[in-house]
Amino acid sequence: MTTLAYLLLVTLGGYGLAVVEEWSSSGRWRPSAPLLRSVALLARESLSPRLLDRKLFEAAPPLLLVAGVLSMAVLPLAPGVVPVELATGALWLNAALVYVAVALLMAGWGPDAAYPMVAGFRFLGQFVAYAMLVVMPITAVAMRASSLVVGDIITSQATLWNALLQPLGFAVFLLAAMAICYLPPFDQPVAPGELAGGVVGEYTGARLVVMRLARLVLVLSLALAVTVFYLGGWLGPLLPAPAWSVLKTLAVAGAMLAVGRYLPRLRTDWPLEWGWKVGIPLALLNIFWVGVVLLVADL
Amino acid sequence: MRTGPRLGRPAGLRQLLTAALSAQLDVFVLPGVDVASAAGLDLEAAGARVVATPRHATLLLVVGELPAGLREAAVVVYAQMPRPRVLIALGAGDVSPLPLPDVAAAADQHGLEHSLEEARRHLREGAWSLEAQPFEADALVPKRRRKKERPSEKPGPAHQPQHGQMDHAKAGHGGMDHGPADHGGMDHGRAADGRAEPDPAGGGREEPGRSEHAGMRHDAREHGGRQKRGTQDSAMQVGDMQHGGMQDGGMQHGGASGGMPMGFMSMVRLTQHLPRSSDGLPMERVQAPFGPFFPALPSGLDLTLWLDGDTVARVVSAQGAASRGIEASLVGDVAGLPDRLARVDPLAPRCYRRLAVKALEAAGMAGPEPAARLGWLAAVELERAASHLNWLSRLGFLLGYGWLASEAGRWQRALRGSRNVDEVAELESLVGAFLQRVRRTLLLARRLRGLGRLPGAELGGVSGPVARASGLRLDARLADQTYQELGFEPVVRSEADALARLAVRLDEVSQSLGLVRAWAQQRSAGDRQGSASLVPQDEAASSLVAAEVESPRGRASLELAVDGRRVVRAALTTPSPGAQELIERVALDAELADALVAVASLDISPWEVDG
Repeated sequence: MTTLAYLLLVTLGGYGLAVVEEWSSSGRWRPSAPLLRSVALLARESLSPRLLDRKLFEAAPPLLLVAGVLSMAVLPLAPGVVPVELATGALWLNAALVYVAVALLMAGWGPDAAYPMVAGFRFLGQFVAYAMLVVMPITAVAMRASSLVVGDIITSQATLWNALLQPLGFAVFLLAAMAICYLPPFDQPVAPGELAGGVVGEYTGARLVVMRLARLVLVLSLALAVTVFYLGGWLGPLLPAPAWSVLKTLAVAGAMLAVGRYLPRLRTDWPLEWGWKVGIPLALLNIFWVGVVLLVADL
Repeated sequence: MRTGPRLGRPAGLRQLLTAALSAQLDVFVLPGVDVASAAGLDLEAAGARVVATPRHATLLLVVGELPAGLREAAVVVYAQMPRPRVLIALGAGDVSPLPLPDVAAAADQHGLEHSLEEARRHLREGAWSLEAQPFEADALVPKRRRKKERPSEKPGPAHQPQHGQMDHAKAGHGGMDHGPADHGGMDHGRAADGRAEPDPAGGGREEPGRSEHAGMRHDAREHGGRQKRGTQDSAMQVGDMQHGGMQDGGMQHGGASGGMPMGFMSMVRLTQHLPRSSDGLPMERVQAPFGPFFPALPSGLDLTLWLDGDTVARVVSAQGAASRGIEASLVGDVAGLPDRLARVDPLAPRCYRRLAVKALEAAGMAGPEPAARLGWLAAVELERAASHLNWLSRLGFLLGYGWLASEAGRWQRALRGSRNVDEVAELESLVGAFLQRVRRTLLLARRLRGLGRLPGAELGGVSGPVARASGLRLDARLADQTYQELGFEPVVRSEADALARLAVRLDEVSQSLGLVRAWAQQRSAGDRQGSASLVPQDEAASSLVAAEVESPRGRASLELAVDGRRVVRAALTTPSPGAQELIERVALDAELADALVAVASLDISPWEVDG
């Protein structure tokens, strides 16, 4: 049942997001495009570049997919509907996301070509800044719940969503989530205009399908994380619990995908600079703020 | 479609796959999207989706005639496409050494739609074929041979890497520099040493490539180039680095660690031949082609960057990748001169047509009325606005700013297609609102400010928006009586960076549309009734005439020697060669993305550069 619910979320939700992604890159609404694109890719050759490091090249797309699936595995859709209930679920998310950086670096290094290599290292350099901004806001939401169990974090928001209680943490986490999914304007590792596809530039055919699917799963997973940590997860009136989770997740994911269309890509050093100089102080301030709120008010 | 399909029986599940394949047309455009847009083609409307690398494309679309040099580079692009693939030629004439086009049509929207329909049919019916053959072309083969014949290089201790030498760059960088054939496909085939073409039966990998691979690794080790195995074992590398410093070479240490050969992984030995970065760190430089078909830069621009990390350490931009003997082609019958000159630059044909007519006017010769129904000024100014918007669209693509790319493309097509003054007036307010929104875009100004700074005093002979963004009040239109009567004053900014160049072009789009409106009002007031057409005169005696116009990229001038009704000699000066010489200045030592934006901000038209 749980597995089925997650499969449904990934297939139907993921499909909807793929349509938004298509719009975000081309400006056209074409509901059939993701399906046709994936099947069309299956019809094409899966080329291997000439001097590739085959192990890295072949392993990167599945690893990226695994990272997305693993990070999603601890995030519940409804009370009790969660693939793995971990006592340290909130930290598990961060641990799973590390493999995104590993996968992209492998995808960049594997084909042994200049564009992907630059792209892979770009992401590695930036990921360190992003990862801090994922884990520090999570600390603050865990403080409020006095628990690292994701379900507890959701129920702790029954009186007030974390997005309203700790808007700083929410903003920082949302931006870091977008950056980890390398969505525009954080798309330096794929950068069609600068690096002709970057880390995915040398992938064709079925491997490219996996690469694109993996990114969608990652977007869904992080949107679900935003939902459970900040938007009250399954909490909501009238509709059944899973419906709220799905609706909120898709709304967050859709927003994450859409915003990049209206912004130029960030210069490679901006995310780093902002992450370290602005993001981390803000995340610390957020932790302090939540601590003060918890001391003086009983929320 | 002999080199297009995959090898296999077209049956079963494959038929289902081909149905999807034919419904989803991913296209890579040669020489580039800018040329296709300037020709008025709307690929998205025709149902194609433009992709950034040939690796992701099913269709290769050639728009217009490619000069011989670019056709050689196009071969590599074709070889990089996964099969099944379809080659479409729109008004391209001879495309050899590319294979015969699967579909050929005229370079207009109708031809495009027709050929995409044909391409769909090809993909449905011939995506798999038992007669499929690997694609072979001379442009791919000889370089591979040459590579094999070259003796392996064994640098002595005194070996100083010469990064100017292509050969060194290739051998010394071992694995990193594997030839454009493996890069995003934006290269010229100059290092297509291994066959980029996979063997249809061999699972996408083929033997010559493998053996090269082995050879390259060997080279890399002897050269002290970075090796993958080394980076995987980073702990050992660090150990060696510490030791290496003390033991002068770290050979003993290298030998002691894990039974590796003597000196293996010594950081000092590995890096002693490498060039130093500006911070003193030894870094291996990676040579990467960013042209002539790099989708975010002007099509035909031959640009190679040596990257030191992600900093541009060396810039080579060969002039005349698109050269095809322009001046010689201008010689001939006077009546055909406007048509011949209009073919010089696919990005600004009306402007060059006007230049020819202006020169012939000066010679007192007959010339045909300029292309547009609106009269020459409207034609030239609309083209300027459209050209700037086309540039803006490519800048949007380079910056990953999707909305800008599609909207600017849309408005440039609308302007090119406008038929009368009322339409232009209608567009003027819409385009004005669009430009206003661009100016207000969050982060855009911050992204561009300070990039590619070019102080006006150091610009040399450069003209056009680049010069005007550097504070120089240079514009050929200032000398034109018609413009003087309209009270024309060029847009000048003094910041001299990429942002100023964007601002100048945005303002010039508005200004051009304003000029069209003002001119139309003046004409309808009856001021310029007599200017509609040129009256043919009798044969002129031989004469030497000159004319100049302000093209979207700067001052273009033409000197003609006319004898009777024949042009016997022509000298054409265009703005782009001067702008191309600035590439190194704006790109060197910049971060890669900044370098690309700075190069793009020059708005070079390689078609105007005749080597």
